[in-house]
Amino acid sequence: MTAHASPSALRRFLRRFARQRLSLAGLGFVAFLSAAAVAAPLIAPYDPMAINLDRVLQGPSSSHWFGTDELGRDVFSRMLFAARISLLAALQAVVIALLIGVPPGLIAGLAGGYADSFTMRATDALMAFPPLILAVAIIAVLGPSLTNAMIAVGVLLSPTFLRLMRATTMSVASETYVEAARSIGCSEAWIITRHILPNVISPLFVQISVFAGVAMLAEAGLSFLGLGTQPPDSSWGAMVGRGFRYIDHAPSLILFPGLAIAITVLALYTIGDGLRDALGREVRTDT
Amino acid sequence: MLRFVLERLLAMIPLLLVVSLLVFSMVLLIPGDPAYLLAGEDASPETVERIREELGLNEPVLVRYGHWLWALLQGDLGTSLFSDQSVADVLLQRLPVTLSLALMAIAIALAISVPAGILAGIRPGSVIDRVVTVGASAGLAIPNFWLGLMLALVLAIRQPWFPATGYVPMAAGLGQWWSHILLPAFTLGFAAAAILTRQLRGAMVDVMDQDFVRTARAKGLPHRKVVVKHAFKNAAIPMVTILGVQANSLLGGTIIVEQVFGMPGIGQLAVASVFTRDLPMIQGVVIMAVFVAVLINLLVDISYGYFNPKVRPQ
Repeated sequence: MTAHASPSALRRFLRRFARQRLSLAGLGFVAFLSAAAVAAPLIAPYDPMAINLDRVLQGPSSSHWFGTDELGRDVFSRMLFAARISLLAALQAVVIALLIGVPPGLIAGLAGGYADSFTMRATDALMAFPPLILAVAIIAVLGPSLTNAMIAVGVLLSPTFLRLMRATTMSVASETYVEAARSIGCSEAWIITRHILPNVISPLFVQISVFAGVAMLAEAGLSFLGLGTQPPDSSWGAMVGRGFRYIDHAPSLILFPGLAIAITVLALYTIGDGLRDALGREVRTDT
Repeated sequence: MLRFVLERLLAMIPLLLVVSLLVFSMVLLIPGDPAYLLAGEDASPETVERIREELGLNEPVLVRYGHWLWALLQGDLGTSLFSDQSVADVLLQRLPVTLSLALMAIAIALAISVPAGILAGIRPGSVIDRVVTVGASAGLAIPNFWLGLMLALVLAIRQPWFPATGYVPMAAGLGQWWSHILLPAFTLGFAAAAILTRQLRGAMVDVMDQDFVRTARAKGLPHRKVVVKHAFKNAAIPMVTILGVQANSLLGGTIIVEQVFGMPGIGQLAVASVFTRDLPMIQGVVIMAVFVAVLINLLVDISYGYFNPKVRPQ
């Protein structure tokens, strides 16, 4: 029964992923960070907005772990709150990219013909733009804000999702079990939801975790330029952008937010690597 | 060879047309009346009318696109709304900065990734391989603006070995140009180096297992020659493809790196133009960037023929 074989294939895929220690550590880190971000108001040692002009631009100390900024605010507390924005922004961009990329990719892969060549030419055109230039152009039209920046990043990432969906759908649609389902009279909707979708989802997971990292870097870059997060909100990238001016007096202002971005992105990539390895063996045993 | 290049150029025309249509429609996508928006909140009706005229908003859309495209083909990208300068002039003046930054970044990325990828790929699991793999993962995750700031802090501010900001044209002295471009180009090329290294390492591991490499060894060729002539030349083919994609994202990355190092290039102009709402300038930047990206990809395509005789024009 193929309908039952597919969920178990997904389970097998997840079990293989669970055996990769490095990737599990990455997943653990992202989970821990998300929990810390959610609990920020409870665990932050200081009010992230509390100005204290007696203690400006201080280095790390026992009372201020990551030092203080130009207004004497506690950098560690600010980073906890900024983590909320950085994580949510990455999630937002990936969801937007999925919404734009997955349905047309699925349609192109199933329908072929004109629908396919049209979507492929559209992705060609989108991919001809240097990515950040396209993002800046979209922000120029919509106006600088975090949501608009993430729409831009979502548009940027969507062609890859589209192409991935198209390619995997095409290969799954030509499998014998799909032909079998069709020949015993299953409806197209049934075939798509029960036979095709479960089998194209695992490769999508790999791309999602890698792109969450890419989106986080893009958000950080755009917020650094002042085109993303707007004050009074702050993301890690925006913190580096503000700290830029005090680089000589208080390098810790850019050191810690930058490290946070790098470690989180690395964790997301390791999750992606683990998912890819789990997938690789899956493909090898099945074909 | 000339025919091959011409065919590639012709194949790009439809793509460039679609791109031009997308760039043109940026004006249409601005919510509300773009003329009012661009003029600012307390602009006089005359200013609004002037901008409306400048953007050609009084004519039907298709006519506007036709005029715009015709002007574009003649190298006329319009006039800046901010400084009243010709967009094309401003771009041409700034292009050398961005081009030398991007090309140097590609050169640095290759100079790092080719030896690193080969050394790691011929001995998978060795100490060198592990160091290279960890370094490449870090290169992918580190934000380039942060890397640039850290390099500037250590090598330009604390130890004044390099200038922290600015750009000096090559004509003003090669040494000066070199010292200004090295840190930004390294910053920009580091992520590309990481991606290319990963790609080349994987390809080298695969190729070193192939029969023709064993044959080359068996017939007594020196190790160096087997690795460079037989293995690397084959492993380089997928790397060249990745290089084309990377060149594209490097051009985008100049936006950030130029800001970090205060270089008066096109990327810096793009950011400034978003804040001044200078739409013709942004359109010009995008067109110019896509054009340069397409040209770089053409060069990559041509170099493909060197590595892969199968795609060489007959």
